[in-house]
Amino acid sequence: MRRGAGGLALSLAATLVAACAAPRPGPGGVADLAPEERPADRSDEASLWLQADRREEQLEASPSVVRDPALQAYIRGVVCRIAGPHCPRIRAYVIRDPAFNASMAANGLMEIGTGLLLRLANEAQLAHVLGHEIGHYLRRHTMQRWEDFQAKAINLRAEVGSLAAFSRDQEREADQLGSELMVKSGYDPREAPRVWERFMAERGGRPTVASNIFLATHPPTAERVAALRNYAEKTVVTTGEPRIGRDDYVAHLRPARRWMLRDEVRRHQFASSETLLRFLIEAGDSLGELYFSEGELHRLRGALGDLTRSVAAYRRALEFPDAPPETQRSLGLVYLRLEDRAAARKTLARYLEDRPDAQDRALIENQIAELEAAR
Amino acid sequence: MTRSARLGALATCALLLGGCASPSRYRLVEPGARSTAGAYTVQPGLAWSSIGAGKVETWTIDGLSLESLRFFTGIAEGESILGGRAAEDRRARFSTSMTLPEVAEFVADSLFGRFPPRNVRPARFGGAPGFRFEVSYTTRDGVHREALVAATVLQKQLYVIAYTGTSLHHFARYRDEAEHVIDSVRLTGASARTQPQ
Amino acid sequence: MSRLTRLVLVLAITVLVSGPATAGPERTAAGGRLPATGLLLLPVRVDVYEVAPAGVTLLKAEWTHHAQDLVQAALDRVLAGRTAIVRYQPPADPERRDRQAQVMKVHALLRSAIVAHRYTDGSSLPSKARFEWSLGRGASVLHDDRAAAPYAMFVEMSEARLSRHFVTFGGLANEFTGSASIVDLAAGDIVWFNYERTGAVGTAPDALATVKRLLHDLPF
Repeated sequence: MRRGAGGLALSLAATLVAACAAPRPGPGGVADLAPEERPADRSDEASLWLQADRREEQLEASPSVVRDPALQAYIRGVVCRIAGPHCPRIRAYVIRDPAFNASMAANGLMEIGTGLLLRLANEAQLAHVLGHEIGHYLRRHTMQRWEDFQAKAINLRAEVGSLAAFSRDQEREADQLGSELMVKSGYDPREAPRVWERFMAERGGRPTVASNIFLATHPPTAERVAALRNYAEKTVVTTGEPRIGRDDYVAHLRPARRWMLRDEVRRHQFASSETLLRFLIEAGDSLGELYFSEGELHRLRGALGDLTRSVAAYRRALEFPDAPPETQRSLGLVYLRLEDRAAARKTLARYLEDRPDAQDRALIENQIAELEAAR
Repeated sequence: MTRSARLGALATCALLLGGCASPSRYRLVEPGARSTAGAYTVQPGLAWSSIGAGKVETWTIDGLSLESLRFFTGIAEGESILGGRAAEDRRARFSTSMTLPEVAEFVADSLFGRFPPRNVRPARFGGAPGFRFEVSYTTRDGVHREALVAATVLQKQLYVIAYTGTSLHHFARYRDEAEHVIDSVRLTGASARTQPQ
Repeated sequence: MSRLTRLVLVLAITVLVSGPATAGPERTAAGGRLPATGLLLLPVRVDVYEVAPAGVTLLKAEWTHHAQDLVQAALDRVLAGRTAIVRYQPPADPERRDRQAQVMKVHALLRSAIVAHRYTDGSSLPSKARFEWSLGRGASVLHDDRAAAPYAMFVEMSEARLSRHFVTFGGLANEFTGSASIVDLAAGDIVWFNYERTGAVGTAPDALATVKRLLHDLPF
């Protein structure tokens, strides 16, 4: 029982990971999947599909799936634009996960993390990531990875433990296919290397977190960035002005931005969140939200100097119409910590005015009453 | 264990438990005064089964995945509520400089992530000023659950009791009992002197 | 052999024969005999895994689909004539479907809790003397309005077969677990439950024998 459960977890991980860790086709190769192709029921490939089907069943009820019809339709549109005849088979789920994550299973089940969406600047960059994942699907990388794994296990080869290992060649293959699909659909391939450059900047040379499957198997390297840049320079987009699609992308993501930023702050990864916010502030959209998030980062870290920096960020946020009402709450609580009682009382009262339905109203009122009593 | 000792243990088990081969990991909590997790004294009205000790003791009636009452004790400056392996642990950490609304925010974030607390209100906890709130949340496998949380900060340490259960049935089934247990809390030992913060 | 050693051995054998915790069906007082007025049969979940070398399991599509058919046929045979069987149909209304799905999810938690606390060594709940688990009145959402079966049955099986490549290792065997529960849809109580650790679902006779063992001593 225990072994079964552990194995199940491992095999599920294999289903999700292997796409990003597949070996090159051997001599003789493996044909790409045809648009309507389904593996025969008795094949291991059908089993990998069934496992992915089960994963999809779980997702149907999962609170992690973002069920915003407008956002779903937008992602679907980009998928279909680049996947062409494979479009009906690629099922893209937006997963509420603030990490930089995406995955592709054998059956065309694609999961895209909101942390990844928050970090992309435009539709062309989205097309690159989606194209890369679709490349894993078309090349049947999950199946190849499974066969390779089996062969090694049977021969008791040492590499057997490296289920999540990847080879640069395999990633390069998906990169290449992703860029080709992107160009074929009219996107600007120069946006592809920017996805990884930005991400490397955010990491600031820190090692990849092992628990992040996407990054463990897609480590952004200078070499990959160079290859993508090289490809973009050599490629001429023939279908008119290459599409970047910044405005469309930003407009479709804007309704989700508030909670995506909350999720980002809640990761408690101060340095990378700070780099991300700087980048987003530079891009200049939703500044009230962004400065509020910057204030939250500092308030929650609470190290030396953080409180005064959070005050500056909250006040900046309040200069913009999209500053959330919680800005007053956070600012008031920081004033309280800084022992500026008058400012705390005034700001917290303002919060309750702005948010009559505040869920912590009773606790904040209590706080205000204590401040009044101490006057 | 030698062979004869092993046989002896088995035989003892057979005699005492009439066929149960090993004693349960769970301890019986009988109704009445009972100290728990080394920090609280409570008066349950029903029999519970208890597991764990030290920083977290958990009680249940039907099973941990159905409903549970968790007692977290003495979380100090720089500690997280759920603990965790240090290397990859990026959880929020408790700080004594937090205001009470921030402590509530920290507790809700640590236990329920992005699911927001409802009706965060001042409530006394073991004679000290504290707060309570409710949360509705959904687990990764899609089960809807409810939670009732009570907490206080006393002598620079955070004390939390969290009752959770399935929304379908189990939360409501023992909610009155859970509230009764929370209402009966007395903080034991050196922490018993209450002081406003 | 001393008399003491002999006594200890006899007692030890008693323990081994009587097995851990519960063996065989559990039931509430109400679950002794149920009226044969209808049973809603939830979709049977049968999973067949291959345990590949290195311990990685693969949910085998062909085996799973085949076993699902065999178990369904065996169930139909074993239940025939005992009570009216109503097959579960997901309702068209998405809100109702979600509420039904929630009952099934909580049932899955209950199933695991019962297996852990009644059928597993060392995990019994000392505060729970009687067999008493419930989904609550919310379970009534499973009632099929047309057929109004007062009880529902959940059946779940899982088999892990060793890959032929395991021959070299030896000493390991296929693993099976199966459970069946009957829920009173008015109160939500689990009135009858069984859990088995032996069985096989690879052939029609095996599947029939396994279903018969799992459903022996049914309350109707």
